[in-house]
Amino acid sequence: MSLLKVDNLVTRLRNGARIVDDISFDIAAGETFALLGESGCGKSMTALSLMRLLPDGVVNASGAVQMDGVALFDLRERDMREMRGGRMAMIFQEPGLSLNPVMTVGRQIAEVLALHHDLKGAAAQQRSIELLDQVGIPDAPRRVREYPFRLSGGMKQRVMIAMALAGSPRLLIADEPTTALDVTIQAQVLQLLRDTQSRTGMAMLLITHDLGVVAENAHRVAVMYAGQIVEQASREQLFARPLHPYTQKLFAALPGAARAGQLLSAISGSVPPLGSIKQGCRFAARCDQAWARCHEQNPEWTAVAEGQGVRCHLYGEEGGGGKGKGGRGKGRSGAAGFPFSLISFPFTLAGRRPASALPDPQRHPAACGRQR
Amino acid sequence: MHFPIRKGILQRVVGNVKAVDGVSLDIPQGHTLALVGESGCGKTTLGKALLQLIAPTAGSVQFSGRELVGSPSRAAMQMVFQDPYASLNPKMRVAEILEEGMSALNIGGDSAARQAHIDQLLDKVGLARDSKWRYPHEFSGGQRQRIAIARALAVSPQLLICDEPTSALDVSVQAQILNLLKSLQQELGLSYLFITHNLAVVEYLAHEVCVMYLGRIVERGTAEEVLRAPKHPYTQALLSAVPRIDGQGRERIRLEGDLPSPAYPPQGCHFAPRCPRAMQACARYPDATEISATHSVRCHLYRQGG
Repeated sequence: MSLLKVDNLVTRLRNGARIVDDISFDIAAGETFALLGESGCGKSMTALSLMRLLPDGVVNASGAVQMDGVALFDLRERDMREMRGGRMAMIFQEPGLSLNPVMTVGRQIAEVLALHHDLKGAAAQQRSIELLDQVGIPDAPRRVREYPFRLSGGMKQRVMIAMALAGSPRLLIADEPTTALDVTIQAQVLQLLRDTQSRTGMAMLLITHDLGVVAENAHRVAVMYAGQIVEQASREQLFARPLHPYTQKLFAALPGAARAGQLLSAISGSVPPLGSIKQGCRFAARCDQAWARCHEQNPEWTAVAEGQGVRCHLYGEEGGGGKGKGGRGKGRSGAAGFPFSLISFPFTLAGRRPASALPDPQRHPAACGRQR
Repeated sequence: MHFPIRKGILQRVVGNVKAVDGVSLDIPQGHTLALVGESGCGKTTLGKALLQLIAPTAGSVQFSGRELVGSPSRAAMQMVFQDPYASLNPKMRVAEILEEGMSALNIGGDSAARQAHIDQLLDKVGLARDSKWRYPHEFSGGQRQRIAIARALAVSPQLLICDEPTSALDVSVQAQILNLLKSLQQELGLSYLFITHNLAVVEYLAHEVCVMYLGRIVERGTAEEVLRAPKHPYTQALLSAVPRIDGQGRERIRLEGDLPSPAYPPQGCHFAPRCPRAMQACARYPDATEISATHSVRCHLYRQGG
């Protein structure tokens, strides 16, 4: 039973450009679901759509979001406010910009407590101290009376997490929670989120551009490109066998010791401006496996294996009935219909290169990157 | 590199921030030295001090045997900054941006020769020649960083100080820029001082690595030595904190707390308050211990006979 269920969500600008285009996923309680993508791919807009916090000029065009069985888009604004910060909470990328600089930390947490738990005065103060303590802020009774400017970046993000937890959410949306932090602090904050999750059993939607963060935190992953989810899989599936050419290229573009002597296989060009692609696959222009059909027809969602699906013509209808669970295993045969050995993507990062996964350069030169 | 801390109406000096404190390093020609550390550890200040953009309090910077403190040589070394959105003048066309350095230093010959040089520079960094008549806002982040690199190369420097050149960029674009820097190094024999907090980039690009903590270099060695066999507890913690895509089953060293304020650094070893292996001797700042000819570390754990 999924806690959050998103069906065919479309969000667009007033001028019609679809910045979130037909996205579907679901998250179960206690699960971490990662949305992975580069800047401008629509991952933050997806989160803001779920919270119904879209900026001016951006509208939810269609689709449905069910949270705990409640259809969020049918709620009145007043009821939505109960949801926000209560059953679903969000933390943002830049903790320095999301805290109110003229309110003490304690009062900001107390706001949430007053709204969602009807706690006020000394009781709220006491609970704020407990929450700060839980997120690992030393000397919480003193910190609760301080203003955000006195705290370091990592501390501010902890305060944000404490505020989010104050409403006892079932779902926490974390939008690049550690991007503004140093690695040692990032490790602390991610550990805190994992601990909190295992204690409270909340679900987490983790938005990030960092494959490493995904590898260590997510249970399932959706890869976004130019407003669409192009691949969805469990973490194990994605890292063992990425299917979409874009995902494969993301892996290949990571620098590391294993690549030290050679050039990285960069993705040529850059992400197309939103709404500029009217037909065909959005990645086609940067994809070296694209052919005529990719430029003409937007690929349908194809389930390739249990829990893994992809939006790419390479895994399309060849096997027949590509859509839905019935298509299990079809991707393998479908891909084999092409002269490419796609399944054997080289997993060479940090020196791990299983012999079975070595690409065969004669069969498919592109799979080897631009090695020299 | 010391900065005075001023307080009160009279701006009385009450102390010093030792942003960079007793740092020594050398970069051979054609090599890349990576300077690694967290924000606030003084790595950018060090880069700027080398360029004489900030005058150092004490010490010497020599370039090919020539003393630079007091007489900077901008033609010999150039800088590429972190944020390509902030480091290019939005009111100047690309050609003007690229020519500015040449005219300031009075090199590159007459106007026609300079224009030809600009065309070559754009070829070198992989931009179309007609882009020289455009403004920075017309380019994406990766392209802007290419312009910034071309600007640095315009005066034919031998050393490029790259201050986090890819941290504002997406992974796929980062790979393009790293490739560009690498091929430029091979082609022109450039040396790089690469300032970064991204250890994956260090692994990929660097020959030697210096790890900085609170204004001091705590460990230095070849990339292989520092990244494969880190000695200093801080380096070990830093490496273990990086999320890796093959990250399962790896021992993680957790650091408590934040970087202390450089205005009031801890007594003795700066890292001791956060160090999981701190001991009594750490009340005194450790001297450098040579692990090998190229690898040295400032930590009491490796003192001879101790």
